[in-house]
Amino acid sequence: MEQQDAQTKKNSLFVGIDLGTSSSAIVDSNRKKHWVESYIGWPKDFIAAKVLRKSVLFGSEALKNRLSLDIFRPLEHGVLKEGSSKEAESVKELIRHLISLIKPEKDVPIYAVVGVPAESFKVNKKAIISAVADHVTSVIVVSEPFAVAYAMDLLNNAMIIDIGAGTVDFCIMHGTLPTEDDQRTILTAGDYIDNQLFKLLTEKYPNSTFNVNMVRLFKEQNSFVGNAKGQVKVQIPVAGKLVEHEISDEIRRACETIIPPMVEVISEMIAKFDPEFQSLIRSNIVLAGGGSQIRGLGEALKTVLKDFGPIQVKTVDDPMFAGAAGAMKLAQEMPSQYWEKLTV
Amino acid sequence: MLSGWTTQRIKNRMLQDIYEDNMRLIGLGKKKIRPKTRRGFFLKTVVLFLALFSFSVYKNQHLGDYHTLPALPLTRYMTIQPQNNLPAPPQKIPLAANPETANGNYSEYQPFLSQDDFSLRTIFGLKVRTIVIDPGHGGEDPGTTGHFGTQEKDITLDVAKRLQQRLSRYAGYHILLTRNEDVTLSLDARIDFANNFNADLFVSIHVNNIPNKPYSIIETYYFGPNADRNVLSLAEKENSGAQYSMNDFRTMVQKIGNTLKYQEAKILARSIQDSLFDNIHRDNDNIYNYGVKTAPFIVLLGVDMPSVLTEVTCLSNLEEEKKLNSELYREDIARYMEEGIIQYLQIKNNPDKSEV
Repeated sequence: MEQQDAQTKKNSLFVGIDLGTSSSAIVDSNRKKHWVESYIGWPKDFIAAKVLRKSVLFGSEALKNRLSLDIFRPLEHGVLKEGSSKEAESVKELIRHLISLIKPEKDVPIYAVVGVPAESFKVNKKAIISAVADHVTSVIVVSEPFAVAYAMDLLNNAMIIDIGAGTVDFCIMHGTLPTEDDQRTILTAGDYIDNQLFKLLTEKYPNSTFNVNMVRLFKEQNSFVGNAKGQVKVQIPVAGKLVEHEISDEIRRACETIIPPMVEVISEMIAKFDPEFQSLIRSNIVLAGGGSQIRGLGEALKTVLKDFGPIQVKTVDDPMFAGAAGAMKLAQEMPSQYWEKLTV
Repeated sequence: MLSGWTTQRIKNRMLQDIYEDNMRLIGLGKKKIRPKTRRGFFLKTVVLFLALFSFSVYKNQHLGDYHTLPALPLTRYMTIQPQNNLPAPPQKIPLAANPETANGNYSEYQPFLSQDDFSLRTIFGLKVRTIVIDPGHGGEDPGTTGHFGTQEKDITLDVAKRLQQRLSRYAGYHILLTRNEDVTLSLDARIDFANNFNADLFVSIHVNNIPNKPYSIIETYYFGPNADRNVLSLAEKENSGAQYSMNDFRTMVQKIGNTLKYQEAKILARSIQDSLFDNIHRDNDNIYNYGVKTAPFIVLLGVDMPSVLTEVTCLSNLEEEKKLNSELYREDIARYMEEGIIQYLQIKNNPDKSEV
């Protein structure tokens, strides 16, 4: 039986997909991995289609040509917008694109585990399964923080905090598959920081010309909380001319806005947990997702939460691929008999 | 640190749970590979059915019909004005299983509670006929007050009346309010009201207050333990005014062993919470979903039927307070709560719109 299982697995391709609000990643069992920004754009009209020479564009390419495109970010705010067929269509396209990036061999069965933001996992599981099903042999959907926990074997007494663009997902692992009660989602995430930073920069530099996309880039390249390591300076046009702007304080203030709600949820979730095991959870907090790359965030959380007792906050080694790697590991370890029964 | 064997055991169980969860999603939920669990589940279902049946016989024999219930102490209820000409609630299988009769131990029926998409009410075809809506606070107890002086008691009463009107459009339901004017009403009076009218559902409406927060939240509670200080403090606030003795309280706590009540309350809470949040959040990015939670609210513990307490929004938020002063917004809140309740009841027929 085990031999047969091994043989079936040898002839199959297992993929883990992290379907994120901001970026999506894929990892396969042949160790290929790719990521793309979660933007999908369709040319607005035939002129745009002729100029762009593509029927659909993805990621940074879509963003770059956004003025000529109907552009979508399918899991904005962590969920598929209800009633929008274009949203579901864009998830489908995104999955198709991600799978094309790993160039699977023809006729090889593909077994996919897709990690999605926890909120989407609750609300749109079925919609996501049907969006993915066209491109793979069989699909399983799990919540993103759970995929990260699985990748790191943090299955018991740990808290995973996945800081994405649309949502921050909290998940307590206690030796069983997390239920809704073990998971919380808040919306003060990456996009929220972008909006705060945009407001702060608009107040400080009313004559400068910038948009939220530029602000997002400033954040991605310079985000930090706590003490600054030198000044953060960026080039922003003023009356058409590039001028250097000092934005350290604004970056810090914008990034720090996500800390209070995070602290509130962390302390609330830990307080609800069995008191005997609360200290174990506190010593096993893991930050994942793009937001975990904010410099000093782990230390800041430790400082604020120190009143609750000793605390350890780690950051995953590879935030971009941790979720997809966990999903892939899950796909590989899922018994073949389960995969067979899930194939419809 | 877990041993390799323990980790593998946990993983195997998780993989099986993920598989079963996804099987249910694609409509193949019956293909479970866990015969022992199914058998256990079936046995528990049979046991619970027998327990419910015994209790219904017991109650019919001992309590008689509605008219033989002890008269309500008028002085205590003179402020309560239920619907005029309200027909007597018919006899029914109670939604609440008696722990003594049913031997209903909370942990014993835990498997039922962990089944998110499984409703005992649906399985046994239990009907909901009487819904009690409880506008929080009132009279001398204003509840929380907003920056501009808006009082929680007025908002809850207005939303409750609107919700009552909306739900009354559906045939076959008695929709009652614990209070329909600005009067002081103790928590035990609210509880007695719902219990004496043999209500099938109890929905308490409140408005939250989270000072120093630039956003608003929506959250829905059903009764259960909660160690969080914030929630306990909220419970302390909402429980103020209860006039129960310790002995009364002990009797009430015994009611915890009531699987059906809590399971249905959880499903109802989720339905109301989802509807409120999904709809309000569509037009307001500054409102957060604090989800469905358990909390030791006395008003939820004391009533015999599935009961929830919804904090529909926050008066501490200036923008939200302004909006709450608009009739349109209060009607919206009532509409979204209606949607949640209706989804829970799985009503398929449309109400007669002409009555609205």
